[in-house]
Amino acid sequence: MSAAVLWITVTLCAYGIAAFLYRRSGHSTLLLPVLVGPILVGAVLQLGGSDYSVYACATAVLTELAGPATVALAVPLYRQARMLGALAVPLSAALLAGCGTSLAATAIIALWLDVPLDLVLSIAPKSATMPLAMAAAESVGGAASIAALGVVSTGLLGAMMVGPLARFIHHGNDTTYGFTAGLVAHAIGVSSVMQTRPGAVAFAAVAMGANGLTTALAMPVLAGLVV
Amino acid sequence: VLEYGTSLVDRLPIAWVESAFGAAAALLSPWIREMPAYVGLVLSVLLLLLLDWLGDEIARATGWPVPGAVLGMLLLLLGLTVLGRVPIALERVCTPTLRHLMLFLIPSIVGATAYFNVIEEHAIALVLTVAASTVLTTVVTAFVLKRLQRGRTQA
Repeated sequence: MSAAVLWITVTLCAYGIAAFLYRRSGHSTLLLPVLVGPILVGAVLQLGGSDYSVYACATAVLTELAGPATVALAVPLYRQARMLGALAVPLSAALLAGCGTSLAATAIIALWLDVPLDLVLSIAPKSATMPLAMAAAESVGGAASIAALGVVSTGLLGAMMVGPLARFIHHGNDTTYGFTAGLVAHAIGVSSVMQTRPGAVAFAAVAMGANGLTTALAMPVLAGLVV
Repeated sequence: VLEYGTSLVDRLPIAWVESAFGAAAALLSPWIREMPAYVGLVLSVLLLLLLDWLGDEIARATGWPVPGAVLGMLLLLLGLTVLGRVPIALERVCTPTLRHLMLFLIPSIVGATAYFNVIEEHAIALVLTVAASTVLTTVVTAFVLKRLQRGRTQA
């Protein structure tokens, strides 16, 4: 119990400090709370010489609450439903293009760099949400743990890059920014859109859900192609 | 009559579900208006927890490869669509929850980095792969959306 109180407090403090730094830096991409928060927690774990398994047990409540928090995304989705309906065609096309690019580029680049096949299949679903990616990787002979690592690194990198890249390609468009962030960086992208541009979060939520499912469905096809 | 071996969810016409939501909302709404504010907040939190749990159960029962939370999100979206508005209490719970969505992800992000030693041998190749394909996916998605949004409703 005391471990739970301690580590949840550490996580809350890390989150608070990360959010504070982000606001003070004038929303600097390098100081995104999704990046700084986990780094601070990791530093405390290292300094205290604590094992990750202790931390995972202690913060299980927080991880559990990610589910109900995801359910809450229905409210912005409902608010933007008409807009999403009007853009159904462009959004579906972008979904297929993005999902296909993610899977194909990952597989081709990794194979070209001589990465073994089981590792390639493990990191291929890296733009899907973590539970989907882990299940999809395992179903075609990959490892869930490596899938989780791919998902997290893509999420962090994506959350940092989507802002500048989407602004460069389609300056200031909420739909493009939100949808791209959700498609590439799943839940991490959605949470960072929530902090940078809350008005775009419905597009991020739709992209996260849709790309997760499309990736899960496409993984057996990819496995069939590369094996 | 339902036969054994066919899933209930598959056979339930969507109209039944909608009218069930509608009837429940109509029955409950006078009672809800009389309640003190905190009851609504507690009910909203319970609703989110319940829908998350229900989504998990449906995913397990049907074997669909969908996270329970995403199914729960769709159920709540269906409920809101039938109701035609967002109840104030639900709004007051969801807004702060979503603003701090990232807090709930920190343990999973920290956890995944614990696997880093597994890929040591191929670390450089994998880092390059992740970086390159993430940039490519971002560019392609944003570019397709930009091209196809021309002449349509702008955000």
